[in-house]
Amino acid sequence: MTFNSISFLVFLPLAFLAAWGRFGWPARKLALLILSYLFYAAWNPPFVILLWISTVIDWFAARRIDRTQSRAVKIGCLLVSLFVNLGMLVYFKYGNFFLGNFQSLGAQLGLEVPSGYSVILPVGISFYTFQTLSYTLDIYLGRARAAKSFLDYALYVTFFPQLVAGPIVRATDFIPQCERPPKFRWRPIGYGAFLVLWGVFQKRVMADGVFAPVVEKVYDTTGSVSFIDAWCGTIAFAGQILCDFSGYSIAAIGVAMMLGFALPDNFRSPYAAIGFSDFWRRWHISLSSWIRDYLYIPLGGNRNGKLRAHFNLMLTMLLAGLWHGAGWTFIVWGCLHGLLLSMERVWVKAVWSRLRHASTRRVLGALGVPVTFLLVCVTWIFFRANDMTSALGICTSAFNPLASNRFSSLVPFGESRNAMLGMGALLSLQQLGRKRTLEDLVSSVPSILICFIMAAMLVATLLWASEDRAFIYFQF
Amino acid sequence: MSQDVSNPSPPESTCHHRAPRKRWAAIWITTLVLASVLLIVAEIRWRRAGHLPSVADSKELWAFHRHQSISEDHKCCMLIGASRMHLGFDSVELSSWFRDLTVVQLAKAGAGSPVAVLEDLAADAEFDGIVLCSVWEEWLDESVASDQEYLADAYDNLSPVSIPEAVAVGLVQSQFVTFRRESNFRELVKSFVLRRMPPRDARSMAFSRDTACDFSVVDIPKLRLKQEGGPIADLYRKPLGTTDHYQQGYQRVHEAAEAIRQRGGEVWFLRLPTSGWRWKMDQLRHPRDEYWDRFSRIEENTIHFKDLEAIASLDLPDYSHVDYRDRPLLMKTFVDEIRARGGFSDLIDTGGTL
Repeated sequence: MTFNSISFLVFLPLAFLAAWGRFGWPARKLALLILSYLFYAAWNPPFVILLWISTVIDWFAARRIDRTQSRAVKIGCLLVSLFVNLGMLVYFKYGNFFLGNFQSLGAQLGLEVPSGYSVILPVGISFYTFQTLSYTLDIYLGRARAAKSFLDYALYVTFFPQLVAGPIVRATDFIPQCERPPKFRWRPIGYGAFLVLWGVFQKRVMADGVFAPVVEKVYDTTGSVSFIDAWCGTIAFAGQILCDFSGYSIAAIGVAMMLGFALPDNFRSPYAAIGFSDFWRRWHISLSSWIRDYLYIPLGGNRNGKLRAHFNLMLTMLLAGLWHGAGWTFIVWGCLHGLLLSMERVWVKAVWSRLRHASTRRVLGALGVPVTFLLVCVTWIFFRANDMTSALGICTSAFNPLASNRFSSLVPFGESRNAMLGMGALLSLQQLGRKRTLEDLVSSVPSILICFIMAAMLVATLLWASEDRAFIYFQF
Repeated sequence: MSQDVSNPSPPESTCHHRAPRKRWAAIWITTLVLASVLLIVAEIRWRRAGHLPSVADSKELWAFHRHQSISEDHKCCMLIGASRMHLGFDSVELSSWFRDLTVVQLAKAGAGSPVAVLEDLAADAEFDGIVLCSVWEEWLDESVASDQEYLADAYDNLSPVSIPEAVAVGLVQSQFVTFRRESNFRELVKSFVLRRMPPRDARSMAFSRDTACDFSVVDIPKLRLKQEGGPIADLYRKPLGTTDHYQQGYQRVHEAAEAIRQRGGEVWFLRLPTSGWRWKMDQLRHPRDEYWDRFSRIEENTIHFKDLEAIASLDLPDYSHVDYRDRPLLMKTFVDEIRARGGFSDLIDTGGTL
C-alpha cells in the first residue's frame, strides 16, 4: 500500500478513527499498531514476522542494557541486537549480491554452484532496522533510558507513515509523544492533509509523470547515449529521485501530523545547497544524521587528526552507499560523495577561510549552488545506472560529446522539454526554500491562492496518466 | 545529559506548532469545490466531443477476471488470445446468448502468444470450463510460448491489495471519460488553452475488459499505410522458427487442451480473420498447408476463418481487427461452427441474438 493508492484512501480514515476515536489512549495506540502491521502486510504478509523479531529482540536487549550494571552483559546484549538486526539486513539485502558473486566465482573455478535461488527483499527493512538499532545504541551509549511501555516502543518501530521509507525516527523524538494523547486540533490535520497532497503530487506528477519517462529511456537503453541525452537523463533523474523520495517523506510527515504525531524533516531544499556538507545537511537528513551519530562520530570523527578524519569520511560514505544496496554502482556513489566531502574540507581550509573580500565570497557562494548541483548529478549517474558498464558509458557520453556514435535523441523532444521545465521549476522552488521552511512559504501565500494551487494539484494528481511506479526508496 | 524516552512529564507532539496559522478547513472545502467544478466541466466537454469512458488495462485487472474462472453455479468460458480476441469477442454479449454461462475476457492486446495462459488454466485443477483460444500461426512457435507468462504469474503472486485497487480504478474509469488514460491532464489543459478537443479515440475498454473499436472515427487509408510500414511490418521480418519449434509448440498446446478436456472442459482454437495485406503476409510467412493444417492434424478442435463462409472475406479496416459493429457476426459464425461440431453441448440457448 502506498500513499498514492486507492487502498490508502480507505486505510487513512480508519487510521484517523483509530487515532482520534472516543476510547482510551492505550486502545487508540493499540489500534494504530494493528493498522501499522496491516499496512506492512499489504505487501507481503509473512514479512511481518521479521518486524516482530526485530521489535522483540531490541525491546529485551535494551531493557537488559538499561537495567544491568555489568559491562559484559551490556556488551553481550548489544551484540545480540546487532547480530540479529544486521544479520537479517545482510541476508535479505545482500544475499543476492553474495550469491551472484559466489556463482560467478564458482563458474570461473569450474565448480558447480546451484542457481535459480534468490532472496526477496522485504520492503523497508533498512529503515526499521536502523530505527531499532538506534534505540538500542542510544541506551547502550547512555543517551536514553529504555521505554517503559512495550506498546509505545512497538508503535515507534512500526508506526506506518514512516515504516517503509522513513524518515528514520529516533526513539527520543517519538516515544515521548506516545505517552500523552495529542490534543485534537483542525490546524495540523488540515496542514497534514496539504502535505499529503503535496507529497503525492510530487511523486505521481513530477517524479512518475514528468521525469521518469526521460530517465528510463536514457538509463534503460542497451546502446550508447548521446551527450545531450546523457545530461538530460541525469538531470531528469536528479528531479525524479528528489520528487519521489521527498514526496514520500512529506506525505509521511503529513499523515503522521493528521494522526497527531510529529516526524522530523527529511529534506530541506537539497539542490540549493552550497557544498557537499551542506547538501548532506539537507538530503535524507534522518539517514545522514544517523550515520553521523552512530558511525562517523564513534569512528573518531574529526578528533584524531586530518588524515584520520578524511579516512572516516570515506568509510562512512562508503557504508552509506552500501546501505542503499549491494552493488558496485552504490559503492562508487558512496566513495564519490566521500571524496567530494574530503575535497571540500581541503578547499574550505586552504582557500575559503583565507578569502578576505566579501564580494569574492559572494561570487564564489553564488557559483557554489550550480557547481554542487552538477557534481551531485554526476554522482547520481552511478546511483541510477543498472550496472557499472552502463554508468561508465553514460559518464563518457556526458563528458565527451564526441564519444558516442549516436546523434539522434532517444527521448522525444516533448518529454525532454517537460522534464527540463519541471527541473527549472523545482530548482526555483528549492532556491526559495533555501533559507525558509515550507511552513514559512505557505504562510506567506494568500489563502485563496493556496486553494487554486491545491485544486490544480489535486486534479493533476487524479488525472495524470502515468505508469504506476513503486517509490524508489522502497527497494532500499 | 541523557534523555529519558519514558520521561514522566513528556512533551506533547509538536506537530501543531509547525502548521501555518490558516483556516485549513475553509481552504480544503474551497479546494474540493474548485476541483469538483473543474472535473465536472471536463467531463461534460469530453462527452460533448463524443469521447467514451475507457478502462486502462492492467495485469491486476486481468488477475481479477481470471479469478472468475471457477464457479460452482455457472459454466465458465474463458476467451484467451491477443488483440483480435480482445476486439472480436464481447464477453457480456456472449454470456447473454446462453443460460448459466459466464464468459470472461482474458485476451490481452499486444501481449503475444496466449500459450502460457492456456497452460495456466490447464494446470488449474479447479477449472473445467470452456476455452476459446485465438491462435495466430506465429504463436505456435514454442520459443514464444511464454509471452503471457507474466499474466499467469500476476494471478498467483499479486499483493493482497493490488487487485481490489485495480477493480476500484477500473470501475471509476468505466464511468467517467475524464479518468480515461487518453483524456489525461495534459490533454485537458491543452483543450482549455487551444479551445479544441482532441479527436475521439477509436478504442474503448469496458470493465469486463471487452474492447470495442469504432473504426468510423479513423482515417482508414492512413491507418493501412501505417500498418504496412510500421512495427507490424517488422513482425513479418523476424527470423522464422524451425519446424521442430513449431512441432513442439503444437504438441505443447495440444497437451494443455487435453488436460482441460480430461476434467470435462472444452478447448477450441480459433484462427480469427485477417484481410488484405496482412492475410497476404500471413500466407507468405506461414502457408496454411504447412502450418495451420499440420496443427489441425494434431489438434482436432481448430476452426479457421477461411472455412467459414460468412466471415471468410471480411474486409477489416486495419487488416487485422473487426469494427465493433461486426463483432456479433464474427462471434455468431464461430459459435455456430462450434455447436455444429458438437461443442457447447451442455449449454442452453436463451433465445437471444443466437
